[in-house]
Amino acid sequence: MTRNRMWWSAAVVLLIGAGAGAAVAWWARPGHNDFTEAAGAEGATALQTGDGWVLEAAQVAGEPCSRVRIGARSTTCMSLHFPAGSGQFGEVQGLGHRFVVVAWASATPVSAAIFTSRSLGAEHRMVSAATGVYVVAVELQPGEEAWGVHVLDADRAVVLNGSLLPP
Amino acid sequence: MSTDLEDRLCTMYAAVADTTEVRDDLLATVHEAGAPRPSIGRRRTVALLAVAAVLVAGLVVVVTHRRSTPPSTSLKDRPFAVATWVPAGFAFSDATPDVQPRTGLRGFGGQPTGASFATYSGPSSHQIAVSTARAGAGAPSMGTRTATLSSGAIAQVTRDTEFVTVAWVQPGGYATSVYGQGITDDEAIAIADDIWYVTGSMWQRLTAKAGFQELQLDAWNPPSDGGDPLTFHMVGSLQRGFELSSGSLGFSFGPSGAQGCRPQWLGRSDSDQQVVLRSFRAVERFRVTLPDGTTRDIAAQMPPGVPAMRVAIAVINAPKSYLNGNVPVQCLGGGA
Repeated sequence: MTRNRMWWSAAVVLLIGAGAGAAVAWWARPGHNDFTEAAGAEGATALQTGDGWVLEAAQVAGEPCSRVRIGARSTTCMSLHFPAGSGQFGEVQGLGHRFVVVAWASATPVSAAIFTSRSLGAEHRMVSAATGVYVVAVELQPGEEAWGVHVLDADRAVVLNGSLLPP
Repeated sequence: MSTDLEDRLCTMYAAVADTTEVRDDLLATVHEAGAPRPSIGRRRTVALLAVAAVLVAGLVVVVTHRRSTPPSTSLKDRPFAVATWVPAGFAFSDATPDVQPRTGLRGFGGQPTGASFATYSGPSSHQIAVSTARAGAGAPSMGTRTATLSSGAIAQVTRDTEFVTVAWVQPGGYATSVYGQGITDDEAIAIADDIWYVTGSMWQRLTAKAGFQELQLDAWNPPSDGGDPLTFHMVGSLQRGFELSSGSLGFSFGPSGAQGCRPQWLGRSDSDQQVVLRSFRAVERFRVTLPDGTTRDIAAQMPPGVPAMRVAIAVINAPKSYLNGNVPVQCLGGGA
C-alpha cells in the first residue's frame, strides 16, 4: 500500500513538474528576431513613424520595397511588386518590438483593420509606398496577441481577410 | 453519457478511497508494535498527494471523455447558426449569443428568447446577420414570396428596398433568419441554404479570437456499405468560411459550389473502390448503377448540423476507369 502511495505521489510530482516545465518553456521561448539587416536611413523615405521605429520605403537592386527600421537595424526589405488586388501581411518582431505589417496593391487608397486581443478591428489608414501599393505597420503592445487583419477598400468592402494565428 | 462518466469517476474515487486508509487505530497499532512508521505528517502528506492524484486523474478522464465524445448531431442541441459562406466583400464582424432582442428576430412576429446573432460587415458598411432563437419567435411572418431551401424548409423571403430577410423554422431545429443589406435575394437564399448549426461550446470556439482561428470540428463518418471508415470534418473559420473536408477531398458551400447529386471517387490507390456520394439537397438515399446495369440504394445521411447536405459512401466493385468516370448516381426521396 505504501508503495502504491509512493507511485501516486511520484505521478503527481511528475505531472506537476511536467506542467510547470511546459509553462516555463512556453513563457521563456526565445524571441525570434526579424531585424537582421544593417540599414541606414540614406536613400529611404519615411512612410510612418512610431515610438523609436520607422516604416520606410527603399530601393534594393532597383526594386521598390518597404521595411521597418529601428535605429541601424531593419527587417528584410519586402518587395512592393504585387499584382493589383493582392499583397502580403504578417507579424515581425525583434529588438523589443512587435508589429503587424500589411501591404496591399490597389489603385485607390485602402485601410487595414487589425484584430488583436486588445483591439477588435481598429482601423489604420494605409500609406502609399509606391505606385499603386499601400502599406501600414501597427505596433503591438507587450502581451498583445495578433489575431487577424482585414484590408478594406474605399467602399469598405473586405478585400483581404487574413489570419495571424497559427493553424 | 454523463451517467457513464459519473460511474467511471465514482469507481475511481471508490478505488482510491479503498487504498488510502488514513485510520488512527491502525496508526496506533503499528506504533504500539514498536515498528518504525512514518510520521502522521508524512502520512497526511501522502494521503493528500493521493487525493490530488485522483483529482488529476479524474480531470484527465473528463478531458479524454469530452474529446472522444462527438458532438450531438441533433439540431435541437445546436441552437447557434453560422454562415458557411458570405458574398465577396463581407467578413465576420461580431457575435452575440443568448439575448432577448427588443426588436425581435427579423422575419418573425414573436418575442424570442435565447436569440443569437452572427454579424458580417461589408461594402458601404452594409451588414448581414444570421440569427436563431431558442423559443418565442413564433412562425415566420408572411413574406413577399417563399423559397424552398435545400434542407426542405419553406422560407419566407421579404424584400424591402435594399434589405432582404429570409426567415424559416428549421425542421427539428430552431427559428432562423438571414437579414442582409446590399445583397441580392439569391445571395440571401444561398446563405440560408448553407447554414451550419452548432452547439454552444462550438459557438464559443468559433467566435473566439474574432473568428480568425482555423478549426476542424464535427468529426463524422458518413454511412458506408463497406470499406474503411472515412472521417469528415467541418474545416475553416468564421472569417474564411467552411468546407466539409476529408483530407484532400472537400466540399465547399455557396452558389459557386458544385450542386446536384454527385459521385466522387476517392482514388487513394488504384484498388480503392470507395465513392463518396453527396447531394446539396435533403435527399433520402442515393441509387448507384453498377457496371452490370444493376442498381444499389444507399441511405443518405446529414453531416452534423448541415441540414442542406447529404453524404454516403458506396464501395463499388468496378474497374478504376468506371470509378474514375462519372459513376451513374441518382438522388431519391426528400428534396431530390
